[in-house]
Amino acid sequence: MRSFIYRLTVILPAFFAPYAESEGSHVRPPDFIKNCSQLRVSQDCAKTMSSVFDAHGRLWSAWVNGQYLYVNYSDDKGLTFSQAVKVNVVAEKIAAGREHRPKIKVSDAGLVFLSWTKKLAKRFTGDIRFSRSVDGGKSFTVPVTVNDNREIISHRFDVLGVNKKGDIYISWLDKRDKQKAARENQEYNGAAVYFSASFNGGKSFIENKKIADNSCECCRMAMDFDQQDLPVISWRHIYGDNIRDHSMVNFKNKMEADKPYRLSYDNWKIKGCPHHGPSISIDKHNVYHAVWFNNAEKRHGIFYANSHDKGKTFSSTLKIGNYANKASHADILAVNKQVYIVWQEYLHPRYKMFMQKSADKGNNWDEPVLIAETSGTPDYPFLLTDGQAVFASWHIPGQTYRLILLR
Amino acid sequence: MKNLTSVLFILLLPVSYNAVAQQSFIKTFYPGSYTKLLENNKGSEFTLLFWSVDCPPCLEKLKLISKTRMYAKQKFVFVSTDGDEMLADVAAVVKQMNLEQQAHWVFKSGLNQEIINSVDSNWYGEVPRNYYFNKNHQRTRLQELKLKQ
Repeated sequence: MRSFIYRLTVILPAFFAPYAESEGSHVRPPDFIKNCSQLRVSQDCAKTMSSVFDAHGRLWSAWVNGQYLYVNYSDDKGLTFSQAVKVNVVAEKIAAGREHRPKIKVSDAGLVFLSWTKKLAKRFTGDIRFSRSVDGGKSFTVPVTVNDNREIISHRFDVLGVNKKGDIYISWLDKRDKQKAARENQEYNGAAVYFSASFNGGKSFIENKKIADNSCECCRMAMDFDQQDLPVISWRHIYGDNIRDHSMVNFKNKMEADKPYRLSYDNWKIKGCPHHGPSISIDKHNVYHAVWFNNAEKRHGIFYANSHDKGKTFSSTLKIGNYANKASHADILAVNKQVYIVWQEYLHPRYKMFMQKSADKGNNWDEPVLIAETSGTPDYPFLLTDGQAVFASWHIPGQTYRLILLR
Repeated sequence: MKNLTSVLFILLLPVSYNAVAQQSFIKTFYPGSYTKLLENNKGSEFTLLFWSVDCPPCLEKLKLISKTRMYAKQKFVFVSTDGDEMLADVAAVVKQMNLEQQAHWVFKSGLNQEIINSVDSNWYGEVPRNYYFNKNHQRTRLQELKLKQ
C-alpha cells in the first residue's frame, strides 16, 4: 500500500509541484532501495530499461536480467507492471549499458518489436538481434541475427524504429569495413553505419546497406520518421582528424539512404569514446529537432537546434542545462508544436533530472524545471508520449520506476 | 549435508581468495583517492591515464604503452573508470597488455560522477583521458601520449 501511494505521487504533474518527488521526502517507503541480489527477476534491478507507449496507451518495457531479455507492460502509467515474459529462451550475453541497451517499439497494429546487441566471444564484438511478438507480448519469436556479415567483429549500438505503416528499420555501428581495411593493411578510423529494414512485420529483413563510413564507435544512435514516413537517423561521426561531431541522414525512399550531412559543428577533437549519443525528434510539421552533447574546449555542453528544411540548414544552437553541473544525456520529444527536452545533472551527492519546454516548435523556450532527483546512480532520462500527454521516464537501478507526467 | 557444505566451503576458499588476490594489484579509486595519489607521488613526474574496458581507443593506447615499453622511461598510473564491479574484466585487460607491474586503480562503482568531479570539473567521463604531472605536480592535459626520448 505504501508503495502504491508512493507510486501515485511520482506521476503527480510537474505543473503542481516544482518537482514531482524527491528521495528522502515523506513519501519515500522503507523498501525504497531494493535488495537486488535477492531478487531473481526484477525490472527495478535491471541496469537499464527501454520503454514505449503503444497506440492504446499501454506502457511497454524491455530490460535485461542475467543473460535474458524480458518484456512487461503497464496499463496504469507505470504504477504496476505485468509479469515479465522472457524474450530469448536460450541464454545469451546481452549488451545492456546506457549507450547500448535493448530497444522496444510497438506498431500501430500491436506487434511488439525488439532489437538488441548480443555480445560475442571477443571484446568489442557483437551481433544485432531481433525478435517480435504477434500475440500481444505473450510470447516472442526465436531471435534472429540482422547483420549479414557474420565475422566475430563489432556490429553494435543498434537503434530501432517502426513507422506508421509498420515498416521496421534497424541501424547500427558496424566494423566490417574496418576489418576489411585491416586485412588490406589500410587505415580505417572508427566504424561504419549500416541499416536493414523489414516490410513484412519482421518476418524477414532486407540485405544490409551502408549509410556512412567513419562513425564514432561507442555512442548511442537516434532515429525518428519524417512526414513521408521515412527514417531519419543521427549518430556521432568522425570528421577529419578525430573531430567527433554529429551526422544525420534522410532517406530517398524506403530502401535507400541519401547522403549524410553534418548536424553539429562544435569541433570536439577526441581520439576516444565520448559515450554521449544524440537524440532527435521530428514534429508533424516536419521540423527536425535535435539535442547532442559535446565537450570541446570552446563549445561544450548540451546543444539544441532545429531544421525546417529537412536538415539542409539548422537554427543557431541553444545551450541546454548547466555545464558546471555535468548537464548531459539529453532526450528530446516533439509533440505537435510543443518540444520537450530532459537531461540529467549532478550536484553532489544527487543526480537531478531537468526539463525544458518550448510551446512554439523550438523558437522560444521556458526556463528549465527540476523534475526529480535521487542519490542513486540513475539510468539516462527519456521522454515518452501516449499520444495525449508527455512523460519523463527515469529508471534508477534498485529503486521503483518513475514515470512523471510533464505539463 | 551441512558437513559437506562446510567441507566444500573450506576447500573452495583458497580458490576464491586466489581469484581476488590475483586482481589485488588494482586499488579502488574513491573520491579522495586523487589527492592521495598526488601525495604518494610527491616530487615525481608521472602520467595519469584514465581508461575503460568499453573503449577501443583506450585499449589501443594501453597496447602502445606496452609494445613500446613507454613505462620504462616514464612513470604511469592507470585508472579504469569501469567501476569495481568490473574488476575481473579490468584485471584481464591489464594482464593481456602485460602491464600488471604498473600502478593500477579502478573507480568505486556508483561513485563515478563524484570521482570525476574530484579529478577535473571539466571532465564528462570521456576516455581515454590523460594528464601529465611535472615534479611540482603542475598538470597538463595530453591529447596524445608521447614517448619520452
